[in-house]
Amino acid sequence: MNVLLVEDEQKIADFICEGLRAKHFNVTHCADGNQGYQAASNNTHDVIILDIMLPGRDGLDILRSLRQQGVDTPIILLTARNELGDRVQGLDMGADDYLAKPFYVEELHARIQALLRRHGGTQQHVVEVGALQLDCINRSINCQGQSVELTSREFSLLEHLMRSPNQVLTRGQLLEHVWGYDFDPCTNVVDVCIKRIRYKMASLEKAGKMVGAIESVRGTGYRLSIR
Amino acid sequence: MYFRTRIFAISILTVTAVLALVISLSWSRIMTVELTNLDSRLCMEAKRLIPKHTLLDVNNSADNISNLRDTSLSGSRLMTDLTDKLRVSSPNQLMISVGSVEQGFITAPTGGDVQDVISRLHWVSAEPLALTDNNKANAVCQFAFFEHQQNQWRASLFQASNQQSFIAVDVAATTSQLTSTLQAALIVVIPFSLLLSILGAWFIATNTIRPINRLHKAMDKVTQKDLSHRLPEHKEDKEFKMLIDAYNTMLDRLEDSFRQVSRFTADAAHELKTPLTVLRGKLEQAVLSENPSQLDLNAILDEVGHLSAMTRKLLLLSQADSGSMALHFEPINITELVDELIADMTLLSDELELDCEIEKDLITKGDIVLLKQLLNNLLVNVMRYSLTHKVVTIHARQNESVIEVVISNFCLPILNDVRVKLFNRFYRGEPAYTQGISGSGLGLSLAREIARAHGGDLTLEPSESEVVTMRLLLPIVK
Repeated sequence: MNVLLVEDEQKIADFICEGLRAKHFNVTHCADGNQGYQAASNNTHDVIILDIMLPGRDGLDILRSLRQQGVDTPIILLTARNELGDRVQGLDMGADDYLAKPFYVEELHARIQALLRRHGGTQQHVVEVGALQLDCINRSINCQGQSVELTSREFSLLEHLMRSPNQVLTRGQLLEHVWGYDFDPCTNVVDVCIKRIRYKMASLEKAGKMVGAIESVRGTGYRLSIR
Repeated sequence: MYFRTRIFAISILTVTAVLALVISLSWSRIMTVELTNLDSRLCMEAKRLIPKHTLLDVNNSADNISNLRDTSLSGSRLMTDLTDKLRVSSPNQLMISVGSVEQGFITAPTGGDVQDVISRLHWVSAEPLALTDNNKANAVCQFAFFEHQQNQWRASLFQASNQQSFIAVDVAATTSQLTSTLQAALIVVIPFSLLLSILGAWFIATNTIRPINRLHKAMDKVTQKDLSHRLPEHKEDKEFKMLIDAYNTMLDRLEDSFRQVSRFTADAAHELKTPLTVLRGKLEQAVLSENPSQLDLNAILDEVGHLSAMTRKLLLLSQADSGSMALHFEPINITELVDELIADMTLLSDELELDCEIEKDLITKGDIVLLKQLLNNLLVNVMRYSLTHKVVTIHARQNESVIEVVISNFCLPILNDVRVKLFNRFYRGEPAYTQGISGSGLGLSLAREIARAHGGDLTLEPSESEVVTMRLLLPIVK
């Protein structure tokens, strides 16, 4: 996967590059608007991550020009908190998604994955981890012919875990991805939701099926490990 | 273009126009009067050309005419007399003739073909002239204008019984004295009046601009000092009083919003201090310990989450204040959002008793991110302050053209003076209620701003002191 990152703040660019390379993405980084526009026009990337405030040429301007040229690469806008108005403009101009700073790289990764799935045209209706299947249409988990329905929150949460199997996701990351970043971080809503998912998965296990289990990582968060 | 110059120009133009109008009207009036006088003089002189006895004795007319020809008309005394009376300078500016109706005119030697002139005239008949003798009531004077040698002449024809006399005079010559007198007067009057009008205009302009200058100086002083000063109103005219009033009102509003902004900033800074202090402490601990545990780092992460949520709320509020809350409108199913909200509530508390009545397919147009934030803020409030084992009611329905979401929960009794402050920013109720409950005090005010930005509203419904009922209204957009 080729990702183009156009971001002028070195620290932010570093942690994004690091995080995405860890996910085996091939990241190209440009630190100013004009360079970024040049690189984007080549149309050789699968996804473009575009900061709005850039030296040389601002992100919205690049976005507009690219869309006018017919470049339809998925674009994710990065906005600082004080540019919330720009996200609206950006979405109207043809951006596919936006992410407000500060954010978790994990969240960015999830958004990129979702975009690529949508954009690839082959809408993946089933996520599989081991013997466990997640049906995105019926919002249910299936395991060898048996299935249990999930609520929308349970579904988003499990999907997020299944998209990054064997990886620890913190409560904060899960909360942000499923409930949005304005949800009160002091709640135990993630733990309760995980508990319910486990309960539902256990009902499948009782039928003697081997499924992945959601592990708690003490003080940090959760991980879906494949047994 | 200066206002003063404009006022000056307008005043001068007005005065000059009035002056020109008055002069031309009086000139034409004087001329009309002069011509009327001339007519009556001409008539008198024409009558005098006919000797008295001929008027009395009709039969001797022929003798009289010959008599006249011999004496009066040929005599220069008559001409001198006439030039004097008609105020002309030479006999060439006069024509006279006398005759009888039957025999025609006897031309006087005053140059020009008088007979020819008379035959071409269109007479304007006049009133019958009452003669001094009273027995000749049918004597008439007739008048006419004619051109002779490029000059305008006025002629008078006097007819009494069988006698007639004709007398004509060059108009310009006879009025020349008057014209020159008037011109001499105007040459003095016009510059003088112009000078006066310039002075007057300058006075008007200066007078008009003076209060404006005064105001300008006062305003300069006010803005130099600070927003708390106001313009004095005494000794000003009514219109300027109104202007000063408006300016002072504007200053009031400015000062208010300025105060509000400073207070808001101070409050915000204060509120941000708390999570920052916690964050700093925890980070220091983590640094000091040899290898920080996941628990510490997680606590730090939570605190950062707090900070992010707070700055986001502050930003949205400041956008709402400046009226620039940006919304990405799309159709939104409020029913689904409320269902999600209820699901979250049940996740958050096992002991929660819910009484829900949610109508299907309540669709509005709105910004999904902000509407979720709004509902979240309401939910957070319910979860924080609602008493356990008490019912929380959530009703969502369509009411004519609006969606009405009413959320009601039991809580510790709230006094009325606390109720009115619930939507105030950074207001967190009495310490007794908020004991051990975290929160920024921004949630409700932000929720209301979001509702208003969507063309709806969020209100606190009147209820008993231990119940809080929030009513959210959103427009229905199918």
